[in-house]
Amino acid sequence: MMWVLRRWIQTAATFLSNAYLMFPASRNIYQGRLKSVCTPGLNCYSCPAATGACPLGSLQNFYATLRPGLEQGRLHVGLYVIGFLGIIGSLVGRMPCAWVCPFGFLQEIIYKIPSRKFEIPHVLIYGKYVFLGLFIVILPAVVVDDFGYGVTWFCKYVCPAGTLEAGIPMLALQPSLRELIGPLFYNKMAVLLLFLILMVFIKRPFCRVVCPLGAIYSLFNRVSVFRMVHHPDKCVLCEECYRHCPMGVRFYEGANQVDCIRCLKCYQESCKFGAISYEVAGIRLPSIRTKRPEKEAPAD
Amino acid sequence: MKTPRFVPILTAIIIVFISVVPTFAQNKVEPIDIEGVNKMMIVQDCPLFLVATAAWCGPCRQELPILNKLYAKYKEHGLKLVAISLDADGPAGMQRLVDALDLKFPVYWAGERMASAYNIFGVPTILIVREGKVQERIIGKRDENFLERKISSLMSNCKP
Repeated sequence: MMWVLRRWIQTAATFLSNAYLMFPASRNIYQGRLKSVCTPGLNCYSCPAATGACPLGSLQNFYATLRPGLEQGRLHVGLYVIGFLGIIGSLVGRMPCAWVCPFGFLQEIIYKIPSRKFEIPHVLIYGKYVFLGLFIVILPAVVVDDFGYGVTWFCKYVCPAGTLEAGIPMLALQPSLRELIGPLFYNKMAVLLLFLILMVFIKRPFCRVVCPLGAIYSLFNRVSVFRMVHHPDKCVLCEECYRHCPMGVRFYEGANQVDCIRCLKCYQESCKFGAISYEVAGIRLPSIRTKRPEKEAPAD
Repeated sequence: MKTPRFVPILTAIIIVFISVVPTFAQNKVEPIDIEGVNKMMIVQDCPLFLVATAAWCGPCRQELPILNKLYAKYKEHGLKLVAISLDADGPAGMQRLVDALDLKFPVYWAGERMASAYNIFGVPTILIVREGKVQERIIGKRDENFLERKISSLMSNCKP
């Protein structure tokens, strides 16, 4: 079953992204060589167990140090991150959100808590592009001090993954940090709490409305090597794909929409009419569907 | 129009002067390896305040002028204050800061290896060293009152 495979991969990716299990003894974050490699999903660099760097943090750092970097001719780290995201995006688009992002995985788990569920207004899905443009690029690059250095705005003021994975654990590991708790920390805690509550009622609210990493990958959805395919001639508009979609995407309105994370749930578990398939570099892959279209009873 | 003879030699002298001036900077950020940091930590009598810092770090840029002020005040009482830059890409970034802030205490560049060697997970971090051992860590940016209280309390038993 595809969903079992996806859960295994999500679990494995979460543990691989956070495989430094010595942190309770060292009371510190992992700082080995792997830390210079970005993870494809959202996973805070300062998480005590994190083995890699967060691509969003690295990208903000690039823009925040752009001016001194240009003066000193060192742009290689930023170009590496942009290239890294470009390669992943052009290969699979937003697929990492569904398969390897620990924060996406957390949202799917929390959404399983039984409750009344809600849908968000469609226009909010464009919020992530505002966060990408403003908090990742413009503010870090433009609002700089006398030395030309900016601030990593998204990490500092918004990112709930950072608060959950790094802020809270580091306070537990390093009691002296508690002396530094101030309005900034309370603001971050409020943002985290808000999203944790929203995750119970709304499908992946952070991914759909805020996540700048998803926004970057989504730009590649229509042009990536891996693409979803819709067959309108077979589609009966039953909305089963929408009901199963962890991102609330109405697949029948168009394949490869910006919020399609290629989890393949619609293909594998929803559509009984063969209206959804996928292709790699234009080549349709053999079907791996387990559910077959139900045959109509022969008319007497 | 004929170029005066002294122009080429004057130009050459200016170029040499410009290229050499930074090496005569009053407080040059010198590279140091972990061995060198270990040796520096063997101090007698007075504690050593080893400040792990970085040019890209906003709180560090706010704290360095405070430390500079306190260094000027307590230097004659025997305060030993040394900053180590953890910047990944060489001492140039920190040198700009040292020059602009007119830092008077010694500043070295050790790079990111300093973080793993001394278990530093964030900057600024002040390591308070006595007899070769890190006795205390002050993690994160602190205000002037806090730092002065800390320095004056530790300097009370110190023989300059």
